[in-house]
Amino acid sequence: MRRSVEVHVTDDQVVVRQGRSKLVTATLTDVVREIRCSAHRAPSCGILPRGVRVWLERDNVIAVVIEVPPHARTVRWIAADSRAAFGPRARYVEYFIAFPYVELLVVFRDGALTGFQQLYYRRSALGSDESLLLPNLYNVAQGYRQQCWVCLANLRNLGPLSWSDKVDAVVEHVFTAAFNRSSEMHEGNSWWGAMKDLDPRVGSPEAWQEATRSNPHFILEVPWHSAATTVTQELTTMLDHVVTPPTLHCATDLAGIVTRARAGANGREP
Amino acid sequence: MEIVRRRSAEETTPTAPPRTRTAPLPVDPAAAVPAAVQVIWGPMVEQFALVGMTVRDVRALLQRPYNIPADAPALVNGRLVNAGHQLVAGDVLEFAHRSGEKGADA
Repeated sequence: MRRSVEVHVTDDQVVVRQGRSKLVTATLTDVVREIRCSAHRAPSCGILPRGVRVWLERDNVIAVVIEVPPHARTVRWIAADSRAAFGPRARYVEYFIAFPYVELLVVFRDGALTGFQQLYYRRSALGSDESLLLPNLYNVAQGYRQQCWVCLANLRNLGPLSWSDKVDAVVEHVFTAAFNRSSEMHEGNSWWGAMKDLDPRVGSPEAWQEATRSNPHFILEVPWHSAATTVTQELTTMLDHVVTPPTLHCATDLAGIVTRARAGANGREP
Repeated sequence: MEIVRRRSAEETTPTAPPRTRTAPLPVDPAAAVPAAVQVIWGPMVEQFALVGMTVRDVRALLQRPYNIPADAPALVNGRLVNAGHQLVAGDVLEFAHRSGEKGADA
């Protein structure tokens, strides 16, 4: 009679036994890595939405990097003499300004925004190098455990939208909703204020527009400061803030996962 | 379980217009699509071979695929233009789009 195979987990070791014979031993960490490799799964969005360069999925939480190529466009910018910092009484002026590569790092839970959303610059498209540069925009600020949090407060509920429409809505809001001094009021800072003396060509919206009109490529030559971080570092940290990755190094960790799985299964039972 | 998908730079820069998605304002100007016009509409930043066409022609061409409203004002290089304006290489054609403002009462 053929004896059944048993798998025993003790501390950080996994032992495969058949009867009294010990067939193989491996560390739990190695076993978990193998399981991950075997669990091939396509992104839940199907085809990646336009502009998405990185898609990272952990349970019901999805982190994306949206890359917007360099371009010049007309934006609404808070007027220097606006008495209101933002809101219905704020006064805006339109400027035609160039942007370098803009990288939007956004974490969604169940398809809705989580508050973990950042904006960085780059001089080239993401490739083997994935370092990030600090931006010079209003409404991008240090806050909420993020270096370059971008304000998406007035964005409608993205939950019901398709992934393609969610991504478009985020990009559209970043560029077409007016820039103002809301972060100065709420977060106490903005990267526009911090970077004002970086380069005279982007020292004021008027200078920025003038430089754009004479050569829109200038924006890639501005000496943007390094953010001292990378896409992977930032996205992983943001994701970890929203959903803690389960650790699985020993039998106790596995017991915890089994318990959660059982609780989840109970919750799913009709 | 965590999965990661990374899209290569090549995937985002196909070559055949008008469905082409090329990187506008590249670092190397020689890499630019010859005789291209950059079109901006909300989240859309695309580069097309539209030189010599009028704004009216471009609107008719792109209106349906990109849901551009018929009454969205057209700007070329940041300046309002009429429908008969003819595009030249390097122009930036924007169909104006506003969506409120950033920030909200705390």
